[in-house]
Amino acid sequence: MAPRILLIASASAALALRGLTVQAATLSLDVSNPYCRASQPERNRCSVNIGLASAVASDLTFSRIEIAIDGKLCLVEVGFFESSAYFNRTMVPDGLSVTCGFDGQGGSAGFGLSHRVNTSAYLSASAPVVAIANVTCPPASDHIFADSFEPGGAG
Amino acid sequence: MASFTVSNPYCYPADPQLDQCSINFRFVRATDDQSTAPYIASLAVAISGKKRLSIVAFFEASITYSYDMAPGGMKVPCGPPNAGGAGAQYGNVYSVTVQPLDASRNPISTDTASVA
Repeated sequence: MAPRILLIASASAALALRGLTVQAATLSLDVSNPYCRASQPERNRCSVNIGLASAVASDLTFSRIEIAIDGKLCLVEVGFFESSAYFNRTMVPDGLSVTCGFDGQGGSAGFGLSHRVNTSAYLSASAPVVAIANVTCPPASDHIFADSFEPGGAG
Repeated sequence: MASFTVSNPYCYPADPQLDQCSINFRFVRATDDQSTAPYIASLAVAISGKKRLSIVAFFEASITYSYDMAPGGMKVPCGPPNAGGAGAQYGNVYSVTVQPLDASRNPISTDTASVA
């Protein structure tokens, strides 16, 4: 079996090496249940994740999925000589680290900051299909246990 | 080797404050029909030429790797913007090589992805 080499920045060239004819391709993107949890609220650290994301193209010009939070690229998942990419929350077990923000900082009492989560799917040579979600995090907290329960009076 | 599939390599900043990124694959599957030698004995993953993962075929003709077999992925430095030359949105670029190996640890096949 001949070695296969894929360069993320030049997927179209890699596809050309395989002798593929590039035709008008279709691309669909589904994103389900983005969420934010307080992973280390005492350190003002929250984590954003996505329940499911899938990008399916009609041919091998499929390139990648990118997830950006507040405009900053946080995850790149590449199609390796395949026409689709699938992401689920367990692929990034600790989620993507963001700032929780303090109570009310994002404009809603009881919540912290809102973060814009852009999920983009790319063919090798076209504008991306983008799904945009605003995810609001729990606020940072000074006194909270790792299991998210405040200490009770019992015991 | 009957089939060898590497699906959806990905990279994300596991701990950006420590410049720590993580590389993983959604899955890798290598299946040997065992009709002709060499036969598959293990599967190795290397990042920038350094072996990071090895899975053994234990009296079996196929090896499957899933992302949750390495929950934190394989740690690498993220690098500063454009460190790998892929653009300001990206940091370092890593060459990730996946090879099914025979009993003498010679590669039967090679797939290489550049992951940023």
